[in-house]
Amino acid sequence: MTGILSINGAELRISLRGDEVLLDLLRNLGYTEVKEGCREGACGSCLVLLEGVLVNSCQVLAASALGREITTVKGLGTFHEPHPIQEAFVETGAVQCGFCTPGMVLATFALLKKTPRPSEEQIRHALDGNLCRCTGYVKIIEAVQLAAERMASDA
Amino acid sequence: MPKHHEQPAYVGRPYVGRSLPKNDALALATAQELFTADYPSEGALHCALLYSPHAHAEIRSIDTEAARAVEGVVDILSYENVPRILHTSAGQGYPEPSPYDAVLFDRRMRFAGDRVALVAANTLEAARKAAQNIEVDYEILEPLLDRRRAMDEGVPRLHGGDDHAKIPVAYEPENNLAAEVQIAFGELEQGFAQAELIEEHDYSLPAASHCAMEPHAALAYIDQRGRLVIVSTTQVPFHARRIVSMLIECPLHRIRVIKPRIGGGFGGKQEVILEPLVALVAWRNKRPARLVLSRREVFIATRTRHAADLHLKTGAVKDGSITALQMDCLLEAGAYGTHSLTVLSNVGAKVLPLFNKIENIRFHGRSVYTNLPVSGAYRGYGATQGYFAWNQQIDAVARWAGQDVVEYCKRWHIRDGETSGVFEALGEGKEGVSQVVQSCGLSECLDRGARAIDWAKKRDRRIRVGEDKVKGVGLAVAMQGSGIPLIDMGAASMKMNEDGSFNLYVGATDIGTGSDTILAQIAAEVLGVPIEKFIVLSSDTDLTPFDVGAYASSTTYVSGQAVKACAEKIAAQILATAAELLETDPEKLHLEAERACDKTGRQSISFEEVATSATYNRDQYQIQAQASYTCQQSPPPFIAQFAEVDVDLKTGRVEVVRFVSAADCGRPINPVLAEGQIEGAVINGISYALWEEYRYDENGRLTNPRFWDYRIFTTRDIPELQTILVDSEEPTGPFGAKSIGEVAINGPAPAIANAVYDAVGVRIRDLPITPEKVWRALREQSGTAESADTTDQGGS
Amino acid sequence: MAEIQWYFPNELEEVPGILAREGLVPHSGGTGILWGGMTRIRGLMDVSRLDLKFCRARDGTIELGAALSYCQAAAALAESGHVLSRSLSSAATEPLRNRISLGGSISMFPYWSDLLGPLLASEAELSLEGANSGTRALEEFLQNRDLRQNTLITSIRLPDQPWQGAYYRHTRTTTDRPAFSLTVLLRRSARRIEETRIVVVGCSERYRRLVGVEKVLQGSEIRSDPSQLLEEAAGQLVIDFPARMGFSAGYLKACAAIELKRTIASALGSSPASSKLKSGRAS
Repeated sequence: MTGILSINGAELRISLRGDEVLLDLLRNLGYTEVKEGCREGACGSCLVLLEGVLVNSCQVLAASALGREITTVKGLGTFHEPHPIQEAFVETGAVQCGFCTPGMVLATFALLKKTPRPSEEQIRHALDGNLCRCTGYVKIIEAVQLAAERMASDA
Repeated sequence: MPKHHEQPAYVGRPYVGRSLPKNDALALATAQELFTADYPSEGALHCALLYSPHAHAEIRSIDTEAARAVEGVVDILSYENVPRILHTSAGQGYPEPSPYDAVLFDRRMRFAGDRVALVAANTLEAARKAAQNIEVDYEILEPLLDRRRAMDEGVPRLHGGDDHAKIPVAYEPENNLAAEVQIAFGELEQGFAQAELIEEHDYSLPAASHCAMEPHAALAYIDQRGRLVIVSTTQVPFHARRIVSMLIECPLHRIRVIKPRIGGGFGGKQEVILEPLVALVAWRNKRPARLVLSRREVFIATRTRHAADLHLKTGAVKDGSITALQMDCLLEAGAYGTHSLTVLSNVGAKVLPLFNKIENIRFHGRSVYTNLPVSGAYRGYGATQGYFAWNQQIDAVARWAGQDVVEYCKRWHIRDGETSGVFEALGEGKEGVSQVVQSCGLSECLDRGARAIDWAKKRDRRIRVGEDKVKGVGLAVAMQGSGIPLIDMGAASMKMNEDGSFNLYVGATDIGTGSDTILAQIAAEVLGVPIEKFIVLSSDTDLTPFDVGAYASSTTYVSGQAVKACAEKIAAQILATAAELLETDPEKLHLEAERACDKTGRQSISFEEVATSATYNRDQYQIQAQASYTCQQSPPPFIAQFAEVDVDLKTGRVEVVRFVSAADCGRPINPVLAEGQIEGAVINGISYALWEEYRYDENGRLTNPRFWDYRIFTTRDIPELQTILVDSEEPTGPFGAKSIGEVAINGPAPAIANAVYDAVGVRIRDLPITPEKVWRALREQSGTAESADTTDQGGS
Repeated sequence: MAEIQWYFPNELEEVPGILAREGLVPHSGGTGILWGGMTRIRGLMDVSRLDLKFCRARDGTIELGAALSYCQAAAALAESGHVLSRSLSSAATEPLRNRISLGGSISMFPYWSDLLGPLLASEAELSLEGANSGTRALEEFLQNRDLRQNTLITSIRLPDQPWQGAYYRHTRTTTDRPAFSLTVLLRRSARRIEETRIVVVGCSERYRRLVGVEKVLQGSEIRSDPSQLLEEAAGQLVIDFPARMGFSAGYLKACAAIELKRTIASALGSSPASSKLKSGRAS
């Protein structure tokens, strides 16, 4: 089947199989910032925003995303114009191997949109679908708090 | 989480000791960096593996006709067409201390997950489909699934034939013995005879998965000059090059191994597993090859922590002195013996020196083969297993002697200026290296950690929390090493560019740890140049000098010293050229703020001018240098770790409420990165202590190869964590540094076990410390245990 | 395998015709479909263009559109304090809560569902379209496999009543699925438990309404120290569990009794649900 996908603001006409999973579709299109870590919806490496909602792209059938807006981490910021969340992650030492980082950044973005001044409890809850084995999450939580502070003062 | 990080006061250094952001952090946060599976793969052959469903079997025949008929299939590898070359997949220095007991494709399947065949096809789908269509006729053999029976008469044998050890060590494949280590000091039996207390107990730990977020992957292609290039998720690019060369019978100089960004390793990628496979496919078919493992494959078919049984016997007298310590250890190698000798050696080597005044010691360990997934390197590397047992014995002895265990450890641990006979006796497969400890801040770690967790107010108090919970605190202490003395070598080279910047080439392998950054910090400190002006390129066997790779906590200490020495040579060249240009003597100049200046400051010249002159104008030469470093010793980092738990008296559930680590890693080159290492290791350790274990069915198949049933901690599970870096200076380390990569994973399990005992008076000596185990122990303690056997633990 | 066909109906009238085809199942979030494997599926009917993401309170009934995700339903009910909001918020992980739908979860009916306990305790009803259109009690739907064929759940109705409630899920780590869950709903006067509904999900029969326990509690006086009453209530618990997730059957049984007491105590101490439903439509 064919259809239109909007990814980071760019519209693409794509052909896909009925049973194709969004993760594979995105990676095959070159969006390698969306990572595969487990393919069971547990690790969060594959997170994207689907119509602004945080989802595991490995658990979404691509056909159901046709005609919808998808945002990957590169839709939030770039190397030359990083998002404040990405900067906060860099500054607090929340990036070790970096494999979980795109997913963490998206989860943080989704949280702060809903809850600009989250408590630590709310941060933990919002990031509970993001596994990290390097950091122990400590500096990641600090990064979210720093990003919230910065974004709230910018607002 | 409120910032609890206590920082020691550092003498003002501009670069070392600063928590600078990693030089790849922004590129990673914006996903600009590529991991192995992100590399473009147009025209590549996609590989899929077929694994044995049987724990022990002989392949009678393989029929690939149906597989070859699948459209797009290009090549199929199996024992039929791949030469049988014995090797070890362990990423270690050559000759490896691990037995040569594996071939790429064998007829004998030794675990459920052993490799049968590889299919290479134009699409991944075709490769997978074809792999499913390979027909294999297995003769099923009786599997050996119980490590405790591995050396019994009449049990199945996994190895024999031409399997051999590369170096002269105990290796008896005919007895399923992959490795054996024994050392003894003093008179053990006399020591026990003197003792007024004998604590003798069994401990056990299960196999575990590293769970690095990035699954293993490898690519290979033939470049424009006909050389084989491999890009892979490797912690050991140079070892990979050597092993691939041997296995595909291609000269080493025709092979290049490149390590890109790696999504975590923790020892799981200190193996050469996928590289020879993609290399073979690329070499045979003259097309790029790509192999990316699924998470399931990572669980089953890569490597695990060694499951272990330990038996410890400790004798003590009234004043708490330990008169004798006997440690017996049985490690489960699984189907192949990678790292089995060295992990085994470390069980003793990293544990026994810590209390170096014990005169009568015996350590006896064995690693045995079983038809189960393969064990390998895993952060902690034997020390984790040893310390789980040892710290519980110490806790028991201290209690019996009526002493606080914090004070007890302070009294007995090894100190500056002291040594232990174990250092020399236990190396990695051969004799070790004697050393004198020159930096040990463990007592300060103990004091500060105890204060941070409010030890005095909580220990032995069994404070009630709510109606049904009791609080307890527990301690564990540990040391590790910094590199493998006389074996681990790292090298660095640098060249200066005309704008005063530098290229820094290191073999050292950054697997997410930030070694690229801290090595730049070391060079920056020597030269007085900001780290932004160091272009770091690491782990490319064509471009960077040698390094053993990221393991044994060697990078900061070993590779760091190479970088420091290299930078010092560069500094000398800059001074020499500057002196010529300023018409003075180099001894009269020093480097400061990217200039070479004399004492008065009146005569000075910028780095840029020096480099431009040397490159273009006068007595031209490339300012460049290289240096290597082999560590002569392995100065241990030390750690004191404290767990605070609330135990539910009714259900046995253990909640870790707070966890404090106080570590002496020498002078941390980058405190935030050092903390990050500790925090990650601690959460991994707590998760392992409470929930992680490999579970097999009666046929030796792994029943939980998914996060669904292999639980690791998320943000909602972590306790309040506090990390304290204690000031200490290692004179043999670069700017006083030692290492920090592994040691923090050793404390959580025993600290939690000791805390549970503090809370409720039961000791759990086998991991994981599940609620059900605590519940049963509490019921036994109170005499309410049911006779009905409810030991069946459901699987998925 | 033939290509999977997708259908995107805009009106409910289209549903029966689509679902009458062989191998056709509704698709909302899709997590259950991916979980179960797609080998027997010939087609998927995506419900996102139907109006199934509403939530409204009317005439003493809360009606939730079946395509609401766990997160959306939890948010809609959050202010009201309904126990369903709490159970859905604690289920799985954030990105999965954003994708698991109420209807999908009911159709899948796994032992680990965090949705079913509160719905069963609330004696919820389902509105169905397709082969079995009409209104059915949730229990009837779950007991009768035939009702699930070629059928779309369009909404879930539960009474809009000021029940107090508590929810317990028995897990390993926090984001784990529950080996079992307990839902306690109760209505009380100042001194008495007027009515209570207690459901365990994950026992050997998959779920059970704990009628015996309810009988002990119903009409009982609430003392400042309820432990005797709780003990008596838990004494009525006769239940079995399969060994699962590393827990033995005996341990799960023991925990169920302990946690039942705690959950009832928690329900007694909780505030009654209010009618503050966030009515509206989620996208």
